[in-house]
Amino acid sequence: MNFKIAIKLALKGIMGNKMRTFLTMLGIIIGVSAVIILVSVVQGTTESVTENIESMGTNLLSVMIRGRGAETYLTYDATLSLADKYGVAGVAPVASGNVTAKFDTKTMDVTLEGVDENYQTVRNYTVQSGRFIMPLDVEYRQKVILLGTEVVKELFGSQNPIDKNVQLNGLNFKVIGILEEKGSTMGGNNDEKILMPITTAQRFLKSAGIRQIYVQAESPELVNTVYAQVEKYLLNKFKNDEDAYRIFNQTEMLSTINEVTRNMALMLGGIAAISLLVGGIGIMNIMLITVTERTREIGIRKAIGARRRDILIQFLIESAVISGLGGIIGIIVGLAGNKVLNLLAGMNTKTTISIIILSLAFSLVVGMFFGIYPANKASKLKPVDALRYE
Amino acid sequence: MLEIKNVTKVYNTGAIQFQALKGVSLKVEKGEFVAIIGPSGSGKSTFMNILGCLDVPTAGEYYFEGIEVSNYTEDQLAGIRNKKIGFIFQQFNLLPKLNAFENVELPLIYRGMNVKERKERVLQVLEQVGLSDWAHHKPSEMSGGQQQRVAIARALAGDPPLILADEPTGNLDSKSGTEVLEILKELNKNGRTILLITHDMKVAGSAQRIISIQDGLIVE
Repeated sequence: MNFKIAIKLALKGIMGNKMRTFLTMLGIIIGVSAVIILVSVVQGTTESVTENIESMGTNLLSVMIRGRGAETYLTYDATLSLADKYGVAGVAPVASGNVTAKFDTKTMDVTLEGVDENYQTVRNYTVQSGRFIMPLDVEYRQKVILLGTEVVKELFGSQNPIDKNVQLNGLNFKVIGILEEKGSTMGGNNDEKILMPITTAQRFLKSAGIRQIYVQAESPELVNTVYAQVEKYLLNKFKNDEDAYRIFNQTEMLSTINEVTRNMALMLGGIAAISLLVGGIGIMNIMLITVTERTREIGIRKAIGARRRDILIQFLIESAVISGLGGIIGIIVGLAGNKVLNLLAGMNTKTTISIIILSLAFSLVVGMFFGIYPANKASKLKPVDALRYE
Repeated sequence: MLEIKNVTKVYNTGAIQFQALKGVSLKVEKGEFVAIIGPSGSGKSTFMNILGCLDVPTAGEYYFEGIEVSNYTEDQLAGIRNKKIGFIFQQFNLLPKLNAFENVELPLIYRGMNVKERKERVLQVLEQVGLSDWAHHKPSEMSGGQQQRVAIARALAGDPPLILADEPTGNLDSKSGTEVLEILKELNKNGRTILLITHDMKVAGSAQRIISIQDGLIVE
């Protein structure tokens, strides 16, 4: 029997009992849409976390200095010597503190970071308007600052802050630029801060020491080499005291996060897949009932020349059509669910073609697999017995 | 056309063995119109099932057009039924969800005929039974007589040499019944072999030869 007719007949059989077919499909629909929504949410979350981390700069090591005994920091010059190590693309030392910023009548408590010109590339900052800190600013301890977008919003509203003077703890600093909005990362809000030349900051904060350094490697492969060198340097500096510093490896963190979320996607997808399996059992149940109900039909078909294979294919196609249609509806429901989550809960969802194909294929396989037993039962009916069935 | 030699059929229903046919022999020539009559329980239905290749005998030989089919597999028998035998049943046995056209088309689909040929053939046989205008109606929308004529069209679609009619008039009023018998006679005149199974002597009268079956044996 040819395939097109078989599908047409199957559709006819299915449409003959719409409510039952829909209820049977429901298991598959829920299963497929659950797989798609859960995996999309996990993938979307992974993506935003990764993006977030990468927005801090790529191939980054972040070094925190706690110090040992009287030596509680590195000097600016000492940190610059790290730049000469093999595989290092850039070093950005940071002198930080908290200040109160004031413009006109408005005040705000912000984080102040003293940085040099390397900070922009190492930390992957872009300037929205104005300019970044230049080597000359650092050399001459210029009293200039860059503002994060939150600071601009809070202090200036809709005014243009460039070339205006902002008071930090009572001292005047000239605004030379505005940073591009970055959003929050684990290190806090990146838009609620003020940058100034590192030398100016050391004097302003009355502390010569550097407690935070960002080191960027030239490539992901070199991150570990750079890590080893930085560690060796620090061990040497702090007389083999491992507690004197802490190095965060961003690449390592990323791969850990990726691994965790991948496992999560697998686990959630797996749980959803179980509901697909349950849907498959529902199909088997209904197909068995259908076979019994249609015993006479099977007898008639056999009497006029249907072979076992014809009957088998007919029922297999019916269950495949039910699960396939259920799968397609499930995909539509899943994609719609993603949209709803995105719009209402602001969740980042990411649906890949592969998960759509995978869940559709899985639902088809489930339908076929659970269709085998009822179809086989139907095909084995003896024409005489089937014809006699009332 | 058909030759049956010493065929027996035994049913095993649990502990009891029931012998429905106790050694039956029969020869039917091509072009004959044979009626098989007998009361219910006589083994008449079993005999028909075996003649129609719906069932296989427990012992004995069955030659269909000279070829022994008594040990054919189920699928081989399906092939014989599809190509060589046209069935007409008392209950019509049409598929209720398909319309007349699709019901008649079904055996041709199983035969693997292509769409164009199929359509031509179906319309031709529907015309032959006078139901051209009813092609797209479902069986439930037709009278008993019309349904039986659809069944006849289905039996004829595959152009089989043998027509096997099992109580074809049993569920019809006398007018429709007469019509069906007329069609059978007509078919016989065109060279087809007809086997008519009935318990009604009047119906059997249409045939050229009457075979009476009782208690699993032929009593001429």
